Amino acid sequence: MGDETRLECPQCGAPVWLPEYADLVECPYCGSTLVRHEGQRPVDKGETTAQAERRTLRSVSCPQCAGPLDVREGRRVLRCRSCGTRVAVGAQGGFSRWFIPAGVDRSQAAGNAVVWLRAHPGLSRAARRAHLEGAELFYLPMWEYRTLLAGWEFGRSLRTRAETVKAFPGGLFGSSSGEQAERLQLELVEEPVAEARLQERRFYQAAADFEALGATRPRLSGRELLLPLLAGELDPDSVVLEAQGTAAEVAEKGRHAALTPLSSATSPDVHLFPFRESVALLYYPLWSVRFRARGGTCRVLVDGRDGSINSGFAPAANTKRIVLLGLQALVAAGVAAFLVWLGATGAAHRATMIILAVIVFIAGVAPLRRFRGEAEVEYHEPFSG
Amino acid sequence: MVCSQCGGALEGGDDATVFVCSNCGAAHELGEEGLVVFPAWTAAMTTELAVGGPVHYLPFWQEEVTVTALPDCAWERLRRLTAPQDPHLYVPAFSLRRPVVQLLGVRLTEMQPFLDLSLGLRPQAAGGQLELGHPANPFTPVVISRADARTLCHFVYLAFEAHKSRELRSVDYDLVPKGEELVFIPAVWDPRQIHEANWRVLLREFDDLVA
Repeated sequence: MGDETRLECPQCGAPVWLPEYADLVECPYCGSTLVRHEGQRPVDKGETTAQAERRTLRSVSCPQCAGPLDVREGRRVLRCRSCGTRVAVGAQGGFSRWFIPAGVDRSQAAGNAVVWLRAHPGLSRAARRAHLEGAELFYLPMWEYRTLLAGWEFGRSLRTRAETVKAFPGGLFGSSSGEQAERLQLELVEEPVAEARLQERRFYQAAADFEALGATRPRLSGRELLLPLLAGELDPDSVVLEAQGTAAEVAEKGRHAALTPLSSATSPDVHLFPFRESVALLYYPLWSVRFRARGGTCRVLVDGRDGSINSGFAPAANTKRIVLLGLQALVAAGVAAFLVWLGATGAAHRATMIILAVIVFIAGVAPLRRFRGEAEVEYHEPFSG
Repeated sequence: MVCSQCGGALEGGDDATVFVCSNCGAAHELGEEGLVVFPAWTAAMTTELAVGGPVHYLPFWQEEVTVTALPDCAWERLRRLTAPQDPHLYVPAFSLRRPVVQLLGVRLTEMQPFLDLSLGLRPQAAGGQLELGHPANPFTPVVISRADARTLCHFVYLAFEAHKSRELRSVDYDLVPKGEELVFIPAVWDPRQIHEANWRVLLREFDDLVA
């Protein structure tokens, strides 16, 4: 959860607060766009070198009119928002930070959570009547690695080829009437593979422990609306989770994933080359909606972008399962008793009846041993994680 | 952004990697520290056939490369044809679409056309208007940087080998880019030219393909 650092605007000297999760801030007094400067300034008394590095800001205002520049990911040509002048900037290292704007407000998130509690199967009656306790907006950090990939994959693949062949009359497969018969012949053929690749590849990785929150990693298509993360842009009541890991680690993993061959060729000869690689940190909105129920608490995590249910936890309904299991055990015991009675009264097949009775009894009662009362139902959005 | 030579405004699209001075036609690219001016060339139209439609000047990176490969590979055969000069690899610099890069890159590499080059982007060819991306401007914006072209020349080289060999199952090669020039080549949009990604290159070497 981000600590705020008090800094000074290099343009007007006004105090500026920059949370740890952000690299960009707009000066509330002069409107200059300020970025966290990686360079080092003279170390003040009582502070470390790292603190001196972190506490420096640099203005990225327009050299023509001093207006704010439209800072964009991966762009080295920035446009002034005031006069439209384009400015070329030096090469940037590191990564950029973006956030996905929340398209769902608190009441919509609570409404969607209530609908889920009422409709999801297996929940207790108390869970369905739970009372809303509160909702909190979280921003979950996710690493995104993007690259363009150019190259070729060569190799060979095996394919089944179907061919209709005519059989000789009177032969092994021929008809006795002398007419030519046809049969389907299947054979494995080897084909060359030469596939060109010039495409974008993306790799996503959670930058925080989503499981601690009970969430699963949301799906991203790469076409979501992303806004540059400026300090103060996010809801001040929201909780921004601290990002873990480094851009270099993500880039290495992403590159490894991107260079995985796509063709189905056996023993492929792969020549793939990544270019225009970039790493970004995306902050994803997620509502955590809490309910109070008679048998415990319910928690539903609602996707802050589209309102879908990411994950849900609520007390489970056990009564129905217990009744069904009890009935099953009773029936099994009754059948077993009947078989024992048959074995005891009849002279023939006595041993067989006893064995059958034991088998039926074990089959009927064994599920009781495995039965565990489920405290809660846990749901996670499919195809994510 | 202003031209380092004459102070004129530099033009280019949002995705451009090369910016052209609207006054003197000098090409600029982004270096580590800022804008760097470099020579760009314009090829003259050499076709002997009639031209229909507006002429566009498409940018290509003409790559000078050192290739170490098997003696019977397509590149070695091409090298024997162009000897004593080494052949160039051509990387289209105006599009990242695979068919465009592959088809046009392979066809120009295969043809090794004679280019009648003149330095700079001739303003008279654009009718005095050099704003890239403007409908009246025949010069197409450059969206592939020099560094991208050095990666993409591997793609074009492999495409060339795959095009020339029917059952290629592996390619053993080593390619080192030595340098490149940005060349604007005249072409017209013609959907019948599917082997050139819908562009008809207005060079003599391509005339028999049209006929």
